[in-house]
Amino acid sequence: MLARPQSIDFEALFGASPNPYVLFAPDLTIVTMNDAYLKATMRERDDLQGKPMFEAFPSDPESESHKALQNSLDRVLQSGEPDELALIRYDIAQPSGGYEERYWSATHTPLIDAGKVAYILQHTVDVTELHRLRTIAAEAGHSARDATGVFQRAHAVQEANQTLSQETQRLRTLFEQAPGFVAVLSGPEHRFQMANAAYRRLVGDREIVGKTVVEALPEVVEQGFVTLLEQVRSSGEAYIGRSVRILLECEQEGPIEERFLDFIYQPINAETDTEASGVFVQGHDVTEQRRAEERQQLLIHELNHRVKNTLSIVQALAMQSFNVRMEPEIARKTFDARLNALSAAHNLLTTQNWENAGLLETIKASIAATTGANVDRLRFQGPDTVVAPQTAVSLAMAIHELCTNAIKYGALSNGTGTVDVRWNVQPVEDGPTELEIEWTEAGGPPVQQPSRRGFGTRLIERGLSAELRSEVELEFRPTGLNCKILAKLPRIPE
Amino acid sequence: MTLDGATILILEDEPIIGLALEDMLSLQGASVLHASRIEEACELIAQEQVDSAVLDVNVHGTLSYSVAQLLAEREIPFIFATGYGDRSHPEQFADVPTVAKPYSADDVRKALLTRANCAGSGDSSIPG
Repeated sequence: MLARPQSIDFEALFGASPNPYVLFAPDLTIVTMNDAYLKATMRERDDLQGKPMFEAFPSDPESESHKALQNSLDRVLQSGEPDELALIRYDIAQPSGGYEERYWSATHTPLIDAGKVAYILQHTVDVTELHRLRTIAAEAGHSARDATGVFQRAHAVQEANQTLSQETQRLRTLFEQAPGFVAVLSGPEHRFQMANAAYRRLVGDREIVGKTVVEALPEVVEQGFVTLLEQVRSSGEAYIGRSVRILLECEQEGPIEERFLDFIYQPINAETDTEASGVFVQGHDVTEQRRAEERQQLLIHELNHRVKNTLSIVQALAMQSFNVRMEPEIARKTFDARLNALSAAHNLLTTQNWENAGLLETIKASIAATTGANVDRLRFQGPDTVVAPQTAVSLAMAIHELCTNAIKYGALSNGTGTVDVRWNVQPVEDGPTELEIEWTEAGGPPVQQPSRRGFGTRLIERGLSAELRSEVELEFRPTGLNCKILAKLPRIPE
Repeated sequence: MTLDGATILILEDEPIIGLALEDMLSLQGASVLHASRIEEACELIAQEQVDSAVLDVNVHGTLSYSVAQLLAEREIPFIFATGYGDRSHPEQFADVPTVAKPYSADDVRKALLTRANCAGSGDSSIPG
């Protein structure tokens, strides 16, 4: 490459060129122009410099020429590639007033700085004379073998360009709206040529087009994605990733987030065993799907745990029911009744997703499951509250034991006795809720203190709440059994 | 091979299962300390003479490995009981015997005695 001769003043060269040149900023403001341009447009420098191009040269935004010019400049801004307008009519205001019909051919060349279009250089050639000649020739009946050839070709090229440009625009729109993410990377640096809306969303709407992957998405480098891209580009072999974990900044300046992607790196223009010119990236964010699968696994795991736990409870009930002191038939009935009470408690918990259970419902359901038609002989009185699942199961089982005892020996063993069930809930600030239950039987046969403490009593003592111990007072009054339970219940998270 | 006379700590958050385990161990001559919370288990270990322990792995949603650590530091043998069949323990507890719920009295006894032997008591019963 030749060294730039120090003696040449490029600014002077620009100014002195016989070709008209004008320089636009990316927002299409006129930055500067040379004398040839001023001459061609019949304007003064001060009129134009710093003004938006379409303000300096007004035209109907709906006109073909306005659109053609706008589109050409947009293409340059988007693609960073030069664009040509072979023929465009753009009338010029005359200093004397009115417009002069003028035809132009224009080349728009981007000046790139740091990967972005910094300026657009427009080179315009006034082809009005050629156009007039062609028209005159046509009117005079000459076959268009003259200069018009140039014109017809120019016209044809321009029309073809327009069709191509529309087609490109259509494809671009399709890409842009595709539900999956799409990006095109070019060269060994993996520079973003384009990225659609889904891709940009995935990376937190960062400015990525024109940048290399390393510049645009620095966090992915150490995760091996650039190495993978390079491998695809140099080998020409596609890579397909399934549910691949990636850590991405999904919001601008936001935290790094974990995502899972299905994607393909497809080499572009690869012939066998040759390097690709770039890589086409296409894929879907499958994070939600992945999370759903994980949740399902967790649920299955949790279900397994609950089943095992329930089996252990059933086993415990069996151990308490089938002991050597019991007759087998009675033991079997006791076990059946306990299973039934456990099942009733589970029904309640299931309706609440195993998060908690209503106290009132728990007490009522347990009594109903055990006493059946005798339920009318029990009176309930107490406020409702929510209790933890383990508390509900223990409480239901304890109530079941009290009912069973009443049916066998107490107030429900004859046709007339009654049971009064009252409870009270005392919320303690920042502490466990105090639950007091009083079970009073009346009208049954006289009761005696049993020789040993039964399963029910032990269960209540062990704790209606797994968190905190409870106290149980059993009083065998001549009028019937009186049982007081004082339990401390852990606070249920709202 | 018995548990006769041993003091065994149970950590179990489900009262009914705790009762059954207590009965299983009592019938074999052990005396039982029952904890239903992790803090409670730690307090009992600090205050009482514990010869051995059965730890439920998941206690109110918290894993009981902190209790296991405390027992290991004091060289008290212990086993795990769990309803999560496929869960593996942290490396330092990888070889701790684990009984899967629902377990039998025999399962628990055998696991406890294996552990007591591993702990180097040299005796077939748990010291106590």
